[in-house]
Amino acid sequence: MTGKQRLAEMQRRFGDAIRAPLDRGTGTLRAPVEAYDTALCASLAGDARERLAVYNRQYWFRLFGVFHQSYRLATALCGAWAMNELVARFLRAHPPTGHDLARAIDGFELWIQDELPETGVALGHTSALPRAALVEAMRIDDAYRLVFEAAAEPSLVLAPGDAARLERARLVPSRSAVMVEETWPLVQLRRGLPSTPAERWVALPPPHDNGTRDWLVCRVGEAHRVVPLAPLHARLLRLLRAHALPEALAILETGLPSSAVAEIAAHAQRWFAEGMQLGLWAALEEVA
Amino acid sequence: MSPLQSRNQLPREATGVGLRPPHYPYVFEHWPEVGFFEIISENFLDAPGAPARHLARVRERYPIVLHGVSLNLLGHADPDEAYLDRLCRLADQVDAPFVTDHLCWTGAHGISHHDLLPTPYTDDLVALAAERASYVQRRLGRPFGLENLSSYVAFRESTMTEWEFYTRVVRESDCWYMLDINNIYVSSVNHGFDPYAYIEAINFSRVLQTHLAGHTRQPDGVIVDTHDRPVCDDVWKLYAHAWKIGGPFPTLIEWDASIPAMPEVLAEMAKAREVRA
Repeated sequence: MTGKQRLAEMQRRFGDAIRAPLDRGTGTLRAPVEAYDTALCASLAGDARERLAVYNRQYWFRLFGVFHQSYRLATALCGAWAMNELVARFLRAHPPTGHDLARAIDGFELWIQDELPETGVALGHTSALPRAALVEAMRIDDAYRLVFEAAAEPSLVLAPGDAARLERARLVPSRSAVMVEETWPLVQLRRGLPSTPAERWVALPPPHDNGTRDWLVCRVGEAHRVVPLAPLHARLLRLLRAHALPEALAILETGLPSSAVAEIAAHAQRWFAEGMQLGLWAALEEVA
Repeated sequence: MSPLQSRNQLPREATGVGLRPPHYPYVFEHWPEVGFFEIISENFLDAPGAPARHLARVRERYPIVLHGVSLNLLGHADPDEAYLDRLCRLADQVDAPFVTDHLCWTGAHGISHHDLLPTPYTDDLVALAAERASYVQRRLGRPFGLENLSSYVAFRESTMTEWEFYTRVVRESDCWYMLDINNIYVSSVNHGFDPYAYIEAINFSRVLQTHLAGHTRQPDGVIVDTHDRPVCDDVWKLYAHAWKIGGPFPTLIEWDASIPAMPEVLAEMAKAREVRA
């Protein structure tokens, strides 16, 4: 065997030990030292199993930390213990492959949707977090992350001559503003969370009485800001992703009662001004 | 000195701090007296958004050195060229005086463990590590330093001490030392060797930088390199000895977990200057 082949063999065995799932059976996360490869342990000096356990624990706790940080709201709703189990199941199927530790979360939401039953995560003996609520929480967490990671880009500033362009051009959304829709009042819940997740879960609040609510998560300077959106404002913003302003307004007003049309008329200018102030748009793009 | 010298070397007495996200508000408000900042390379490789903006602001006022954790120098696979391309771009972007990473492996068979993992200390791995480190230094076009590990296991097939392995790789690659004083201490306790013998083996004219950090002693006596507390007295003594026989050299405080307010980190940095006075 060449030196590289020996390295490959040692690193396969060592990697398997490091990634061995931590045992949850005793109510704490215990390194499964008895499961480590015998030949690997024999190749190491001293109390090899206990020493390998240091790496084994470090691997999992480092990754748990990344998921807790990236999914603060989702982790709070599951509690750290249940979240860690989901993360461990996901990472056993999809171990990290890149140099960027933060990217270890990639694919987690999709995996949750595919693998978790609708009933979601069991929390103790009597409670559960529905999958839909968990996914919604993850999307809200994602919005915060996307806004944080968004590249700096100048916000759209309209020149006097741009009024005419607005008739036919599409407003290109800035990457530093993301809309989120919630069935449960989760955005407010996230704002009040402590920075360190607790072992025990935070109870899912009752869903909104009448449908969903929309929020805008945006970056102002280096801080996050969340702005509640009126239902018609949210619908308008969604339409503006594909349509020029007059067309979007026309679609929005179609089939609405006159009171709603009046509401749009009363508020559209303010919504637009606020959007400009928040840096909601990056550019004007001619619609093909 | 090696023909590969940086155009903008740090002063040998420079003291610096590992830049971490909780520090940004303090740095941007107070612009503290810090000789240089070290960043974790992987946190900024082609980074968009907030990390890139913060880095640009810090670079306006301070030298920045790059410290990587994913080079995987002793992985069984060949170096990742795409990673090296990105590392080179980042080093150019901040005009880094030098770049460092670890004498270890971090991933294998397509999986990243995001940990700094040891290998046996053997002749063939000296040759492999030296060849790769030399290649990395040529690719970077600036001094490349190798950091000694803190480790928890030792391989029976090793045919030399850790410091023999380390010094041979640095010498044969014509690279540099990124000497972590805390790691020497941690490994000396975990493996039962004399940390002063390790220090005595180092050619300090090839030390780009030293690291100091805190660690945690487990109930079973094993020390884990946690970087979550102040530097302990034994490590300060080791540092003072290193300075006495090999100083001056740039010194950096690392604090990666349970990160305190910046003034506490700066106090550790100031202590380094006191200890060696």
